[in-house]
Amino acid sequence: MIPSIYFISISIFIFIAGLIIFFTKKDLIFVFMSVEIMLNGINLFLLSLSPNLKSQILIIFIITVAAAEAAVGLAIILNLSRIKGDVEVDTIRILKG
Amino acid sequence: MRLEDLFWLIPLFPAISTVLIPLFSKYLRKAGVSLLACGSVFLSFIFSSISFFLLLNQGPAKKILYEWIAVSNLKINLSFQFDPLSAVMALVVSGVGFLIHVYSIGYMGKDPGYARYFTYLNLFTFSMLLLVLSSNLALMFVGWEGVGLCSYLLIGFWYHKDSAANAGKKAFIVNRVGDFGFLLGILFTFFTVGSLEFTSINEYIKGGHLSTSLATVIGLLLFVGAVGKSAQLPLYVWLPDAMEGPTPVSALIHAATMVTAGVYMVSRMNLLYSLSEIASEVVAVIGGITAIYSASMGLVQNDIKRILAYSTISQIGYMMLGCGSGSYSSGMFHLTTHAFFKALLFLSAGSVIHALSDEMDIRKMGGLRKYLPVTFPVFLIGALAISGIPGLSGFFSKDEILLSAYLSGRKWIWIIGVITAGMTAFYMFRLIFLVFYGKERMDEEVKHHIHESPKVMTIPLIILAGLSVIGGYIGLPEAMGGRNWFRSFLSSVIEEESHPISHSTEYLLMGISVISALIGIYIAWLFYIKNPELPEKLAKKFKALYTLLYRKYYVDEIYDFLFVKPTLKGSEGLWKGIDLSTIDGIAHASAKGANAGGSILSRIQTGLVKDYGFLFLLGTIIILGYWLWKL
Repeated sequence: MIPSIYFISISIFIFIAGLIIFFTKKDLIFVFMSVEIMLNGINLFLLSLSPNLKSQILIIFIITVAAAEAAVGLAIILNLSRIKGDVEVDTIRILKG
Repeated sequence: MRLEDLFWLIPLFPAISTVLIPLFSKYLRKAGVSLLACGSVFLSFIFSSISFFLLLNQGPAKKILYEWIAVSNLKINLSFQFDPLSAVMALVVSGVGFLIHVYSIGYMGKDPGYARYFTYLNLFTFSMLLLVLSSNLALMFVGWEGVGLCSYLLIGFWYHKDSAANAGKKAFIVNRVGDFGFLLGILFTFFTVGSLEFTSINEYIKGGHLSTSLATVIGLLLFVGAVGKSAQLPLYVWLPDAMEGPTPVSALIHAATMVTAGVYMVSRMNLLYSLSEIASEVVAVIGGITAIYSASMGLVQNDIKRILAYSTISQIGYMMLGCGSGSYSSGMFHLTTHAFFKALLFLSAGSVIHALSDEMDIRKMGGLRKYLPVTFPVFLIGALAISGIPGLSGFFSKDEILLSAYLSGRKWIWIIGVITAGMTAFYMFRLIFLVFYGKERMDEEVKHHIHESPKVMTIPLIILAGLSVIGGYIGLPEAMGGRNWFRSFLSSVIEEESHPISHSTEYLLMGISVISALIGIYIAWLFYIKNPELPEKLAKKFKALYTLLYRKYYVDEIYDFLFVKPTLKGSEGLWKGIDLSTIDGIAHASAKGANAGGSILSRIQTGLVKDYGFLFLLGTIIILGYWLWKL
């Protein structure tokens, strides 16, 4: 059996990678994907800390909900690109107070 | 067949059709609506009749459907009872109600609100049956409010007319004053007796637990409700205005059934009123004064329906007079016969109005005898019955009331009753002479369209005319060879002292009231047939008195000055002084504060996704760091 430290390290690596992509990329699609990567990193982290049936069920639910969210998020991005022409993160400032 | 399995179905049928008609009014044609509305009331009548015969064999019954309210020691059941008093009312409500439903098919035939009209009418029948069949005060109050609501809806049925909408509002508000007293009476009863069931209340009174002073308080408070609903002084003002509604409504609600609910209530609580001398005195005096007061206003009015409205108030005053004199059965007797002949009078007045293209001013009628060969004789029968001409129903019931007033020792009320009988005969025959005799005063255009009403309207009229003639024989007095079946039928519910009286005195009293009525008819004949100029001369000579009567003693104006105007002024002060300045001020100030705070705090929002992400990360790190530090 593989020691859980490998799983922990790889989950932390995935999370950090997502974090870096989030702050460096300018394309909204990438930013969006990085969020999903971070989420799955955390999922793996949870599973590696307590590898049992309950966490597996919980993660299946999280992934289902995340898929639904992804559909909504992609729809928003699609509409944004139709209105605006591009999906540059730094130029979207509709929520400025 | 047992009575208790059957009788509680009586109010169910109109309730069902009240739900069905509005739901399916789009798919039902007029015929379907009529069938549903009339059929349901007819079923109620059939069930009432069967229950009545079962009652004769099996005695009264009570049916508890379920416990409606149970809060500590307040227990109210949804329960019905069928005893002689309820039986009389259920038969009158469903029987007369059915005839008026049928009549309405003809009268309302061309109205766009046909289905709405029958929905309201069925809802009314349901509420009224609930009122008369309930076995406790709380459920009775539900019916009491229900009929008030239907009255409001039907007075304002033609809501696009301002006068109708206002009349409906007036009826509702004036009734609210009465209902407040009624509700207080119910609460007093509960705190005294501990139950609202009529049987428990009666046992409590029979057991001698109720003190006279408490009986007076409860009796007077309940009577306030009756004053409102039955349009007695000083809350009668809504009834004449209620004539804005369709004529069959005036016949059913504002003459035959709903307005007599007060009399029913007083009869239902007869033990209570018998216990309190003061409460009975008040009932009798208010009834007597109302009778003569509103009859005097009826003498000079010109609107055919308003004359009948004042007559209704006056006749209900009679019933109250009978109840207050200790003869509740005579009040109920007059209620029954009055339902027949007053419904008849209203419906035939409706037939006249229908024939004359909605003309209601009797100065623009005249000579209609030959145009309306069915309406005229039935109207005449109704007028003779209400005037108390021997042989017709009104004679028996009215004389019984006058007899009881005479025997109760309040002779002046008896004198008032006799004078009122004369005035009643006068205004009824004034109506007949002005509408059916004399010159034809209507416009040529209207005259061209005069027609007798269709069969669907005249047949109910003929049936009601028959009932107005024979209805009195259910209570044929002993002096005339009867046994007064009506009184002995009610004797299990209404306990009355019987006053021995010689037949010769009874004949004398009957003779006096008949002579009074004949004098009234003679004066009407003198005024409107023999000497048509005489009334105008008299009106000029006694101008002050005539104006006072014609303007209805200025009561509407006085109420307007005393209650309506101050309320409006006070409300306006509250609106402008309190609501607009203070309450709205607080609301506006808090909104402005939130706005200002928001505009400062919103500077934090850059709108950039990455800034939000960074702040989020920072927050997470801080929280995680705090936990780690604590470990």
